[in-house]
Amino acid sequence: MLTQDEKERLELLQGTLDLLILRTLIFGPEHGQGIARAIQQTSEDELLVEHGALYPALQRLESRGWISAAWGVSSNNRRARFYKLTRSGRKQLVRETAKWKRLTAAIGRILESEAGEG
Amino acid sequence: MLKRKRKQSDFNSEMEAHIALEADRLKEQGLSEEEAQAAARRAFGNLTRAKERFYESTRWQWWDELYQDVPYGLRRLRRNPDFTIVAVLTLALGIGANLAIFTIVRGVLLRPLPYHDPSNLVEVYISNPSHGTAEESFSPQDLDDFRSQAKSFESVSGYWYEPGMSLYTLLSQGEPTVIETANIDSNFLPTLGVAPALGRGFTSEENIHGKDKVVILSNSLWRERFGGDRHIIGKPIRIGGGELVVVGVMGPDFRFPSPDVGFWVPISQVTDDMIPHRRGVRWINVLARLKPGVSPVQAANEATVIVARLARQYPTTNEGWDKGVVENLRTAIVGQAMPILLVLLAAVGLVLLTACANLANMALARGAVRRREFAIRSAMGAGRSRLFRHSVIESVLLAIFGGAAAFAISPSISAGFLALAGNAIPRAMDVHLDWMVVLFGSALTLLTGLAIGSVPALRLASTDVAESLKASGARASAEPARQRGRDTLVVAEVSLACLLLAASGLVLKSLWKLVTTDPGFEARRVLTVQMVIPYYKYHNENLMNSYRDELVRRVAAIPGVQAAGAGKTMPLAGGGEPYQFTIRNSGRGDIQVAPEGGIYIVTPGYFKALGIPIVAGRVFNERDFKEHRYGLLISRSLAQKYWPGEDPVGKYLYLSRNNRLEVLGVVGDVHNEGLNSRPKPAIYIPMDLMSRIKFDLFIRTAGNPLALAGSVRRVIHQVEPEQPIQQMAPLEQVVYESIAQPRFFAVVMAFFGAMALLLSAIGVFAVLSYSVRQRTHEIGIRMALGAEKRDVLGMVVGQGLKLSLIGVAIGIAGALALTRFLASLLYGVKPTDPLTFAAVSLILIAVALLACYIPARRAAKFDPMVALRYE
Repeated sequence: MLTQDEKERLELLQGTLDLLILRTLIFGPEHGQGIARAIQQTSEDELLVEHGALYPALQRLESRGWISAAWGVSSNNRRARFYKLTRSGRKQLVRETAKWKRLTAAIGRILESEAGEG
Repeated sequence: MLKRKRKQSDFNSEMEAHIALEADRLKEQGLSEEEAQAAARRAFGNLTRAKERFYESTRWQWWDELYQDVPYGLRRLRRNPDFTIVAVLTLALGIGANLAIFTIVRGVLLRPLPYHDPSNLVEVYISNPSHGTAEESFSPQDLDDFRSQAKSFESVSGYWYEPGMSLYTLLSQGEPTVIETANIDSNFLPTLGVAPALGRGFTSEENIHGKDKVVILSNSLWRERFGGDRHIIGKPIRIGGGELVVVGVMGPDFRFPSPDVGFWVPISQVTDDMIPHRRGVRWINVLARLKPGVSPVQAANEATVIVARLARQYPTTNEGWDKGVVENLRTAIVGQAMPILLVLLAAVGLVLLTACANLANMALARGAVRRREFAIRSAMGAGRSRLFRHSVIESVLLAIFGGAAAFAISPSISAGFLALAGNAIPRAMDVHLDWMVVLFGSALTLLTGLAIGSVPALRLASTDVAESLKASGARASAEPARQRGRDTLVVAEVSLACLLLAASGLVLKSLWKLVTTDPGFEARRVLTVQMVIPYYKYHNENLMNSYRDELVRRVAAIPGVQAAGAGKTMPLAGGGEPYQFTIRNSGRGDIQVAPEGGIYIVTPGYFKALGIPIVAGRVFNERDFKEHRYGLLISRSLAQKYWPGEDPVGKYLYLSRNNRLEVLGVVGDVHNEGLNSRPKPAIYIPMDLMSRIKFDLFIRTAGNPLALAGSVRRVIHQVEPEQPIQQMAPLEQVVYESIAQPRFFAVVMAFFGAMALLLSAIGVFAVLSYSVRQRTHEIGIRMALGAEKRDVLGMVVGQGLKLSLIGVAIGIAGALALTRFLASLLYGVKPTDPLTFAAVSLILIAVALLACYIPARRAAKFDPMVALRYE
């Protein structure tokens, strides 16, 4: 059922999803569907969030104490579970972001050099 | 940190909310209600899977999953019947053998003695260190002094029991029967903290000779002989020579000092003429209870102070007897069997470890085949921990089946071991399954399962999913790390087998040394008969002597009998009496002679019947007695000790000032105290001087000794119809039974060694077969490139040989480090015997080569074309 377009979307690396969720929540509490949509939109539809994987990730982050959750009402009056960043979640986001940037820079350097040779 | 777990229903409603929100968004984009709903669900992916993942990430579903995983594991085991059967059988045998040995260890070593507060019960001995005598009984006088002076003990009791030495003939109710008897004082039962089940124990009045015609019956004798008559207390029973009044009946569990005892009678019934009541004659065993808080060491120190004082006070009899020894009663009873049982427990543990390595290896091979399946499942989202659990659950299931079978067979195995052990293992009747054995067996089963399962599970957990998926199913596992794991397990197996084989080799060689030891007599074609004279008929020495001589004469006259004699004790069974002699030496003063091997009371025909060589002089004969020329014989080592370089024949030994005996001759040394103990200096005196109601007949025959058993029995009953014959056996059987303990040890060790050898051979075979299958393609290429069959054969065998050699090297090194713990159990063999080690290495390598050969031949037979196409 997936379109060609959807197939070419990038799959998320393990661990990355956690980072993106934390990042998304920096703007305020959001429910799961909202988080998934925000990631897809912000990445200009390049990143596909498999919704089935989203909730275990939320579960994981919650159990680590990086996010907390409460039931609330969405803008279109639906009951939904809202997640929000905790203090330690914020710290984790800072740490993970720094790590991610170093990693992408490093990988980038390697890929650049290879492209240069080829 | 207790966080409230989210409920499944809470999560489900969150999922529903998500889909509803998604549908709302899609509707805003212009889709219809149905389209939006469907698209939202599609976008979500597998809803059930998401719920499942949520479910998995919470912990309390563990049991629910087990509920699914166990049937899954069972299904998998059913689909691989070959593996399952081999594994369950191996485990059943491995765990079963462990259970069997542990059951014995539990019964013999761990189960408390069935007495009140048994940890405070001790045996006390007197010791003569300068003489090399470690543990000796007390004399009655020494015991009286000791009892009145010692402060460390709550109570001190004396008893006398020697198998076959104190015997009564029971005449009441049925056939005359000889009953084994223990002589005890009135403190005996109170010291043990045991009361008779019926009636009472002995009173202190009954310690006095003449007021002691009383008896306590054993439970089994009471039931079998007296029909469990509850009114038996106070009634007299008829015994040879008189009556005894029953004052008590013991409970069914009481079997001290031996399960054979049927009568307990007062120690004062040990008649004066049987065992002299002299300070120098030590025959009373001392059983005592320590005061609370007094350690055995403190008690031993006090005992030493007391006996050293007695040694100064009575130098003629007690000189040198200046050390007290206090030993825990349990150690006294089971001490001898303890090292053997502990070594067996360690050995059987190593066998199980070998079996585990083997099964882990097999599981690893299966894991390799299943690796792709695991990779796919892992890619599809199965958690690693769950895959790990699958592997462990499978092997735990195997272990549970094996363990259940082990519980079923272990009673037979331990019964078999005990039957093999004969009387070599004390407390055998205390051996049975109990909660501790069940606990041990269950823990062992579970641990075994975990050990086997975790090896392939850890491998799987470290598997790179993407790699496995890319590689083709069969070849995926040829990676070096995996092969290394399997090789390591095989090396471990071979080295364990090597260690066990080295140990059993030493023990077997030691047994061989025992079997081939020259006992000092010629056991072939000798019939032995154990008898107790009906002394109520032959109540004085003269009657006893003439009756016995008549018996020996009549038996010797039976056609086919070459010689007949009698002796107080069976050779190899010890039982020399601790008498002391003096050598009067005009120049250098008197020398005390206490033969370490004791004195043996025999008739003139004894030496010829047993084939004991006469080294010098002659054997005493009947004429000596007619002429009142009393003489004795000494053993060669006694002659060398006291008359070095001299001829002892014609010299005298003094029993007392006026009682001297001439040395008539010197005889060869005999292993009187067992094949594993050096022949000790011994003295033989004629039975006429110390008549015994109990003696053994030795009959040398021309042919098979048992063929004469009927005529011997007939002749004995012609002389005296009421003569009970306790036992008739060829002397060779007596010799055979005397080494029951080392034989039991050797046979069980050999059994364990063989098990380990077989397991390691299977291990080598399996790892090579597997490797050959893995390398089919490679071998095909080699052969296509011109490798000969021989080269392939060599390559595969070489691989197996390398593993075996490493295993043997490690095993030998381990054995060199560990076999010294066997030293005390070996006889005539050093724990590092090079011959044994060489033989064991050769056997292992030969068996390993055999195990290599079959897979190697299969590899050499590959058709290169087929092999190349094989994938």
